[in-house]
Amino acid sequence: MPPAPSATPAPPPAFNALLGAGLVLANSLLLYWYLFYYEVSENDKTFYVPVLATAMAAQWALLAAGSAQPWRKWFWVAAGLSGAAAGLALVGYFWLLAFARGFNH
Amino acid sequence: MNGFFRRLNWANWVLLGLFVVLVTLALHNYWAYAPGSRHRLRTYYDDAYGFPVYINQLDFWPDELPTAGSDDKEVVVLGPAGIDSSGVRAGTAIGTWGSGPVGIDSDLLPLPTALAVNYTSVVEQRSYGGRVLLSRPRLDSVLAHLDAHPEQYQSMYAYPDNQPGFELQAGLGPGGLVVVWLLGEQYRVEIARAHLPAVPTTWPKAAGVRLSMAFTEPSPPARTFAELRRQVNRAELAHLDSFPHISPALLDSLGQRYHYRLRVLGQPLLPATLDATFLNNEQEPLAAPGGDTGLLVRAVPDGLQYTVAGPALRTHERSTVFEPTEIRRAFARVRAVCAPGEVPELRLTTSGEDVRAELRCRRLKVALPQTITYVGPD
Repeated sequence: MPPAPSATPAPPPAFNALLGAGLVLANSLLLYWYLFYYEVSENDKTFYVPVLATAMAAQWALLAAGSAQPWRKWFWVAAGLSGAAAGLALVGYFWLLAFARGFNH
Repeated sequence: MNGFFRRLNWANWVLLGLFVVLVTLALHNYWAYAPGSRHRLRTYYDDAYGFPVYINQLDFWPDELPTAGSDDKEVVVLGPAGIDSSGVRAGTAIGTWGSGPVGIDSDLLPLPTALAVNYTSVVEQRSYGGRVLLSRPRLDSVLAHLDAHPEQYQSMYAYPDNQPGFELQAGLGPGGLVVVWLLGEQYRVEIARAHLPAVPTTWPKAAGVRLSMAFTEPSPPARTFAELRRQVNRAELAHLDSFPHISPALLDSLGQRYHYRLRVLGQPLLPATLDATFLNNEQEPLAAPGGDTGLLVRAVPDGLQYTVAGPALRTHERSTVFEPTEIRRAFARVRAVCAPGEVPELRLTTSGEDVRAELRCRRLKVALPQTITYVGPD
């Protein structure tokens, strides 16, 4: 006797991965809107770049941890790239803070 | 719909929660920045003259003072609405924006009706304090004019819905002159102007106060003339890139022209070394053969820089800075007393490293004891 079908049909394999990727992109856009869209000083913008990149990296990593192959590896790649961008932006931010003295004006 | 949520895995639940939070934040921002009012008014403060000032207090006070019995009484007790003055420390560095723009999630401010200010003019070493009342009819008429002629006035900010945003700025100057402007992109409209009375000064700070901690900029307060000029220049540069900078002191000092003769006695003056500076920080070389400039038709000088010749002097450069109020008062007295047509003489007498200044005509000599001379290369 075949097993009884469960209450919910099995999702298509790409459902969660694609939805998650869409959510990550939408969240990044919303955060960008929140941080950059209204009147922000140059100083704050310089700081918000690494903030935004870190948020993206964290979301990609979260999505990768909850996804199956073959999406998983590509999400880890996206997380690594945005994490590296966040690191570079953070280094740049502190370099500006320490040496360029462009702030506070 | 139910099936959609049941098919989500845990990572998507987290991302969806984040999505909801961010949408809420973005909507909140939108409503906070797009109220019914056409003019978004931000309150900034600054030493807009380019003269170094030392701000002890500067607060725009809100629209209405609540009645004594009302529930809103604590709002006033807590302090002025608007600028977060907790970030404004005494000794906010010259030329900075203080606590900066109002934060992204702060509420819009009511139109203020008064400016409470207490500041020290570093050039004069004198403090001024009091209230400047902002006339609501004046503000309303200015805003109505901006509304009626939008093509003439470009606002400083354009909001996403293309509504203009303006700033309210207080300029603090020597002599207790305080002007409040509405700032646009290429212009500013005067809202109020007042001469504040002098109050007992607390500047420079007593020993034991760590001034370098109080200043947010790397530079400490000026201890020499050269440092002071550098700070003034930096303040000017900081403002010039944001809006055209015309010092109101220009009108006071350059609009009024005086006939006088400038002489430097004592040690001989090296030729082509006499530079006069005026209150708008303009500098002008003066020809002074033998230390005498002849008849000048000029504004009252703010300071003089020159080089004396003399044996056994360690340094030859001199920078003499006049006290603006004192020298103007002296000119007024001399004008009243001297014979008509007589040209008064502004005389500096140098001996060693001392310089005495006086304004004199035949009947009257007015000493200028508050004049300061800095010795050495500027």
